[in-house]
Amino acid sequence: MRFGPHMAGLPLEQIADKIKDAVGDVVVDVNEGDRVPFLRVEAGAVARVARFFRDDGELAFDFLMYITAVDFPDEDKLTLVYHYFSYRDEQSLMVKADVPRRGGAARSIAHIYAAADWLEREVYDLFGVTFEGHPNLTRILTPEGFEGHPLLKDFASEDYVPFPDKMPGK
Amino acid sequence: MGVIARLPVYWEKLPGGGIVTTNLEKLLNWSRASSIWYMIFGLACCAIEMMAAGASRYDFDRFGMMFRATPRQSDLMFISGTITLKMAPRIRRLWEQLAEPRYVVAMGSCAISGGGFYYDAYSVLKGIDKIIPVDVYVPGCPPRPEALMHGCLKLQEKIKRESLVQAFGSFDEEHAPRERLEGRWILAK
Repeated sequence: MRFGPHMAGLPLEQIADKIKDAVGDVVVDVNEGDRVPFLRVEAGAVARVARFFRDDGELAFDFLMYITAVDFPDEDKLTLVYHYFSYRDEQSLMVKADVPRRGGAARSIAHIYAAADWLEREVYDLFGVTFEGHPNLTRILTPEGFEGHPLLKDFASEDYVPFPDKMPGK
Repeated sequence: MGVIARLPVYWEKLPGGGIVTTNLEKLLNWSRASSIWYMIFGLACCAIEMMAAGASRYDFDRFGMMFRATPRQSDLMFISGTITLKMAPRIRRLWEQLAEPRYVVAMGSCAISGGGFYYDAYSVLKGIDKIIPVDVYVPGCPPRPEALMHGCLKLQEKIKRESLVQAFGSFDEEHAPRERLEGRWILAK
């Protein structure tokens, strides 16, 4: 798999321009990144961008690798991360979108990429982001009746038992 | 005593044959201890060691221990790995499906106390003995097959010391470990 400037597909700027033409002015940031280049788009546009990525003949991102999120409590935001991959061009691209920390929501892309079904459930389970239009947005990893979203940095649980202070070698 | 369990008997030689005498309890305990069938059930990395113990190099078969694919035909359950809170009610149910007399071996740190890696996690049960009674604890992370084998020999000794009332008497609901079971979402059906 090749990343960065060596990738076979389109340059990042050109992809951003294509999105602007097809979807509208939704790209907030274009970043070459450390290893994987990424585009930051508006949260309301992730589904339209996903559909464009899948259907556009020049891009042909046929594979959604993962969806995850990152918690930034200081900036009071969650960043959704969508990682696309094109088998034809061996090109990898990340799309990020910021949503509010509490009650964040984005359009579901489960009807565009079937893989997104479980991935969105996972993000919902662990971060509490809701995906509008998801066919079955229920918890996937934590037990039935679980309360809270464990990957949020301020998550607290009575099942969290810290190690005793006086451990040998501590 | 060797590795293979022997039945204490008295063999009276008679012309043309003999009579073996023993007592019923010893006979039953000997046969139970020599045919501990355990359930195919693995949880985490300890299960790999359990599989190694069951395969040809370490060969559990020579103790009369064999995998069974259903709890209905099993006597023993190895708790081989980390018990997540999501898995815990399922384990409890599997244990309830084991026919009595039933035995449990807690294998490795995670099954004993929550473990070295996952103890301070929100998703891990701190020891299987919080939800089901345990007969033998085998420490290690993970324990080697030899250690597991030692635990099973200890279990055989335990079975051989049991009286029939202990073994076949009904399960004592009152004194079962239910700390986590009551009023908690963990066993919400």
